[in-house]
Amino acid sequence: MDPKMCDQLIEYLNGHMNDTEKMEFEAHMEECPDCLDECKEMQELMTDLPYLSEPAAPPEGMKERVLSTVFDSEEIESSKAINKPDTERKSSAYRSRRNWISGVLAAGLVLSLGANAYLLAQNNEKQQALEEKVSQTYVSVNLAPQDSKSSGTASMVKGKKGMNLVVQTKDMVPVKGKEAYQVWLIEGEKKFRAGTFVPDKKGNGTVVFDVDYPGEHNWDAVAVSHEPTAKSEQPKGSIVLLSKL
Amino acid sequence: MSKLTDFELYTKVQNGDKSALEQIYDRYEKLLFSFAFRMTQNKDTAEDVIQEVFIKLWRKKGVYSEEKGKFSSWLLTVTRNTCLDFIRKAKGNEVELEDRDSLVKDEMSVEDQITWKEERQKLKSAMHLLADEQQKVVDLFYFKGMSQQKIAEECGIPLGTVKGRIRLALKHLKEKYKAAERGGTYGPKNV
Ligand SMILES: [Zn+2]
Repeated sequence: MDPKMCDQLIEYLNGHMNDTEKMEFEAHMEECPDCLDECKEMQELMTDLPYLSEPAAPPEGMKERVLSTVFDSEEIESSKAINKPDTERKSSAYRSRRNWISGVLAAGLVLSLGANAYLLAQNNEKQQALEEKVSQTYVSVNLAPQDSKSSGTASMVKGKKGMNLVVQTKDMVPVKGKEAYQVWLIEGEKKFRAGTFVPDKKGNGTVVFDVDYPGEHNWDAVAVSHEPTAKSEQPKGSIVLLSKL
Repeated sequence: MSKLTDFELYTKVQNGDKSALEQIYDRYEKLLFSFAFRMTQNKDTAEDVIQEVFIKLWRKKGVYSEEKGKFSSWLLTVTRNTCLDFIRKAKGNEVELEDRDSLVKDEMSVEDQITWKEERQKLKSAMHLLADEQQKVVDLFYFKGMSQQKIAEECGIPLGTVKGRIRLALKHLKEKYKAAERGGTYGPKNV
């Protein structure tokens, strides 16, 4: 057995692995009974430890906040279900999703960028819903927060009239007065304004912009910034989300 | 009406029963929050963790099965993994997670209401029977979720010995806990 692999159990149990490493270690455990036994033993030994926690009172109103967020997440799903495509379209949407995932992997982009698996799964679902409306996704990335708690995805999608940039964000800080969020496409040192949006009360925003700049472009990255007004021709405010394309 | 088991409630949650989720929430709120707070050392983060756990429970249907052991153990494992995600993310953003004292002090009375009081007392006394170094290893590994490298540095021990030491410390803890359990159920409290 690979002795290096056998040393990885602690990293596995404490989540210090990316998805690939995790899969590799799980595959290793299938072939290495020592590691598998050790892993089971450790998990067993860890079962009671949470009860060591000293009691802490949950903050005021936590139950209402948590449950309303949880049930809101469901409403998004059920409104999507109303527009369920027929079987044929569903399978083609599924295929195109597989394609963009492999495309993203081929491009060597790290899928999770620190986002947890759930968020990724949720975005994939939204992604799929959008893909049913527009035809083909070229590239889709998770936007990484920059000194913010926000998250989101950006996708280049080929629509009927040309390329679109689809940006979905959540947990955006609310805007005050004339403030707005702007989306930028970045090519080398140049920043092109893709468009503006204001998130809803819950901090979510989903927008589709046309990408019809004259000439050939090879976009490097996409960014979202919090701007003092919706009119900035170049970013003035702070960048809250950023990702390579 | 008799109280539903966790598994019965979980099955209802799978069928989209909101009140079943609420009942699970009520049953585990204090334990999960206390655990998440112990791990993240920050009450806002702990609340975010709880929210994430319940979203997982509500949305990712069919993950738990009875073969995986007790529902509570599974839920606590999900909570720990979610905490580890948040701890890692916070490290990446170089945000210090710290406001430990603010909460616990003004809520001392909670101690008496908690359902895991007995387990906690037995575990605590078992923990005190371990050598200081072993207690530290348990804390760094389990609650702080550190990597092997980090634990080696913190304890000043060779990297290659970290796994063995964690395992040994956990084994000792379990033995002492088992002993406390055997002696503690009918007789006087062994604290
Ligand atoms: Zn092995």
